[in-house]
Amino acid sequence: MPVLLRYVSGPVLAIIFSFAFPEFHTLRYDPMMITGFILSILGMVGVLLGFVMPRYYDAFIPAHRRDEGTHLTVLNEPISQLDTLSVVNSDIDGGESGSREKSLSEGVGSGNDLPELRAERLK
Amino acid sequence: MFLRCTHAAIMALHKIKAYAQKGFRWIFPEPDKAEDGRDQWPSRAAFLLAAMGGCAGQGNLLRYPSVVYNNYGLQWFIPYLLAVFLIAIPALVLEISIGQAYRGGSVIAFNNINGRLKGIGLGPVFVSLIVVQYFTVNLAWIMNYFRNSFTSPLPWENRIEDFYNNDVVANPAPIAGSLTDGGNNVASYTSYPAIGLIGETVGWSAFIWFLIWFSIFRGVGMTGRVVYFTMGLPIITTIIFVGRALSLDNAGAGVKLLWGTWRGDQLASGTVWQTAVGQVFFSTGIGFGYFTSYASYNQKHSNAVMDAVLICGSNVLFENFAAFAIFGVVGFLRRWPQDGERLGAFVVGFLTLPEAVLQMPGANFWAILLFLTLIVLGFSSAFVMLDVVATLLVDSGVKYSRPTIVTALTLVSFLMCLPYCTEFGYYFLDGVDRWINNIVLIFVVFGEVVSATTVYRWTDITGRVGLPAFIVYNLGYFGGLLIGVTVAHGVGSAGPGAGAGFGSFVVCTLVAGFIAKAPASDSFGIMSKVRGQASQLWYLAFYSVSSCLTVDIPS
Repeated sequence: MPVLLRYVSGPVLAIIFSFAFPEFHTLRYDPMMITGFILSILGMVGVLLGFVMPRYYDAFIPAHRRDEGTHLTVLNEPISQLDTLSVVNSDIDGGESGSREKSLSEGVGSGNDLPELRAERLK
Repeated sequence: MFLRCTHAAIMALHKIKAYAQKGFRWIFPEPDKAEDGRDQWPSRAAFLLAAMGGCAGQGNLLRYPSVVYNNYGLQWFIPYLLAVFLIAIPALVLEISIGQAYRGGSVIAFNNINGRLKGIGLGPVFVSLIVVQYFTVNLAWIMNYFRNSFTSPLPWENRIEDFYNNDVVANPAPIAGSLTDGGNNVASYTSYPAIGLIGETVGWSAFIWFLIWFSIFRGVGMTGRVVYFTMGLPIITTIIFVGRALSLDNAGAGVKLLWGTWRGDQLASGTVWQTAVGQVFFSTGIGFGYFTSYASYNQKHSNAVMDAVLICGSNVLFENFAAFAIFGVVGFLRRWPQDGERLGAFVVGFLTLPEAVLQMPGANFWAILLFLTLIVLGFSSAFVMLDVVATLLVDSGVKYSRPTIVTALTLVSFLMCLPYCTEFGYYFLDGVDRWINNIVLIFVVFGEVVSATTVYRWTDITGRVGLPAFIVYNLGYFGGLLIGVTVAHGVGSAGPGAGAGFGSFVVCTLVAGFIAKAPASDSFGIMSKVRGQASQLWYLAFYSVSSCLTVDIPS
């Protein structure tokens, strides 16, 4: 199902989106159309701003739920199973759990070593 | 003696107060709570009805028949159903399942997919907030019709368009602007001489805002009751209308226009496909955020796929059923579609229905029924939109209670709707509505479906194939879209654009596959290397959309 989202719905919507701009170009003498158009562009900028400055929108999320999207993930493992893994880890004593964690982080790979992501997780 | 009397009186007062509170709670029930303390729908039916009420609106009753009228014939159902299954249902599943799994409105839900998607989550809230403000004014105009339905003879007799323009909308015509020859510059801007507020429109808007406030201030427990009325009544009246319309003289010919005609040649033109996607998209109501926020009040393990199919299916059924009423009238009035003439989005409904009402015996009764149906349908879409914003504020953990938040929000929105109640309000509404729909709404849904399937657990992918390959692949995807669309508009034909866009996507995909980190493997040789790179490509293209997403977000 999600395959359809990315490879069918996405392109179709991009094409429909593109029709809006030539249409506005033919109507740009009407102040009401200009107002609506500006408002729409501002809305779009608001959405895009979230990519660049995500923490600006933290106010809309209760403090205890802000970190939820920053789970540690492991290739090909569903998140629910990761939870069980970490529970298992916390149960075992020192030495062994150390080796487990190492194998976990190996699976995660280089992407997670980006300083910015690590900072987010530490936060 | 006196003391005892006052004591008894006080006791009685306390009792009355207790009963009054009990009664208040009985009429305005507090919502049930889930294990995590979140409000919960009284039943699954309540959620489904509220969601269906959100998507069923004038889009079904008025817009759909007009679209079908322009594209009459059974061939219409090919692009229409394809759009339902390929776009509406998948997007709906996404919106419902994230709300349900992450227990929050769209901002919280998208923050859970990735911290950088908070903006995407805010998009639907923005759309809903803006749309609900002018949508109520739209309903205020219908209230004007409703009021006039009680006078006999109906005041729009022999002057349907004139009545709409001068009595209902009541906007003096603006002085139209224009572009210079060739359209390179603006010759003059349109000007709007009249700017006063229109009392009646303001009054009816206030009335609609009160209804909206009443439906949602108490939370989903109360809303769960309101929806039985707001969905039940339109279904019953629509059945009555279809029955009445089909019993009109020559109604069969109108129905045959849609269900007994085949015009296969129509499918060759691009317009019909574009129209189908647009209709399905707007009538389902994706991108307003209410599916996500309402699903967040579900039980955590409800069946989101089934819910999406039910909501979408009922929407399709409802609009096609309602179309029988319009086409019965079309046959009766013998208003056949002319070749080359395309009517606007709401024209057929606004022209045929009030006209048909005039022709029926007991015209007032039918007019009242018609406009009541339209109001209830529209109003059930309106309050879900405001509820999206309310859910965002309630969830964000502000210190005020839900009733306080909803009351403040309703008052602010009422003030914000005043510009649409003026003597240029109709044109202002058109300007805002058009670009919010054509730009923000489409962009928001594009963002939802693409971003969720691109950045979800993206570090897993870069860990496996390396960052450069990931960047190149997505450059190919987004660049391909951009190049395709730009080229198509530049040369004015779709073929070369599709070629250029798809071509650059394929090139980038091959490059990405080539530069991807090789997977660990014990075997040697060219074939094994190719196989290895191909499997890396799978990670690039399908990992985010694969089982991980569907397993992590139970749907």
